[in-house]
Amino acid sequence: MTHAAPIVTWMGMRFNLSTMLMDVVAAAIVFILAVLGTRRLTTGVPRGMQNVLEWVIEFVRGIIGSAMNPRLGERYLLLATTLLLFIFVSNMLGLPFAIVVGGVQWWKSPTADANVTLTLAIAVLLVAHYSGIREHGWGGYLRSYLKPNFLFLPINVIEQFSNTLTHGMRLYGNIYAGEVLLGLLAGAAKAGVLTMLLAAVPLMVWQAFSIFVGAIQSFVFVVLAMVYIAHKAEAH
Amino acid sequence: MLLAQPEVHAQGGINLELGTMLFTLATFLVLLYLLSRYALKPLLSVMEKREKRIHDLIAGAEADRRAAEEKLREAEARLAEARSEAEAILARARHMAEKEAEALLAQANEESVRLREEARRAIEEERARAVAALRREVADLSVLIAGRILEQSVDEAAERAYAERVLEEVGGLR
Repeated sequence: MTHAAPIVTWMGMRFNLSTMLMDVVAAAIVFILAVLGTRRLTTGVPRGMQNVLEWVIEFVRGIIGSAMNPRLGERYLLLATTLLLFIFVSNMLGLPFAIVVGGVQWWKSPTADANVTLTLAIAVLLVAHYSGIREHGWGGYLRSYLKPNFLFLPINVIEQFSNTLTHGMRLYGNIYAGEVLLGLLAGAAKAGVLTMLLAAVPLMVWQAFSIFVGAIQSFVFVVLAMVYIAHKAEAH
Repeated sequence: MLLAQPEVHAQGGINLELGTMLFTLATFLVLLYLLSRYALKPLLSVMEKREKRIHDLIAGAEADRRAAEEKLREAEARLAEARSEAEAILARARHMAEKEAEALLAQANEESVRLREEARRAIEEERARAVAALRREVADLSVLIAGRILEQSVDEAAERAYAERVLEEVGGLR
């Protein structure tokens, strides 16, 4: 069940107000939770939110360590942690409810908009290429397109686009599909008492499954981001 | 900033919106900065400090353990030394006591022998003196008796009886 999007045009660019709102909401939730969790930091035994955040950091360190040399990877720790938290919270936002006003959907997961996921994927792409140039210089960076030999040049070039496209679309597809099905089930519940009873159980099951999918997809996104960066930044 | 009413588009397929993308990027970058600045960096520094502290504690414990072991070895060595010294002192003391006892015993023996000798000599002297005195006495008595006999030589029988009586008196001295 799709709803219309509130679009405004400004300076020749189109803005989706709903997506922008949800971007800010997700960012604010991440920031507030993180700040609350790190208000009374202790070097002793961590408790509560500090413990959770430390676990997240260690978890992200594990992801980075599986993709690249941990010493090089420490540089991307903040980026990867922010990506993971932002995407995870974004994926969860659309699950409990959707707000539709006058046929326009305002509340949803920001990651259910391809513009958001592609933006994040492109940001990762830029970081990866920047790191590649920084680690190997322009010469090494450009030569990496001729590996293992010059015949691979077109494949290597196409890979940059396909990687980024699939990186973004994979996340978008999972979350958007999840919300469409949630919307359908919620619509069925609205149609009548019988359909509501019939839809209640699958709705809850699908919400639970979407929590799982949302967590997995945020993890997958960060893993791939680190793999792409490692591919560019590490010695070839 | 916002213009009139947002136009409402039915969403079919994927519409790329440059504005949305730029806004998303900006939001993400701001979040990245704020999150790092106010939450993650303090958290990381605390984690690092804790790691360092634990490292220090482990190193300190290791050093303490080594020092304690060293002290223990030292104390054991001292204890063994003291024990052997005590044994030596005890042995020496026992040896000295034995020697002293022997010396005392020998001295006592000597003393007793000397005393016995002295006593015997004294007894001998006393006897000799007594015998000499007796002899003198006997001689005097003999002279006395002889004088009496010469003065009264009439009654022989009485004389004998008298002499016997005198001698009996003398014999009482024996």
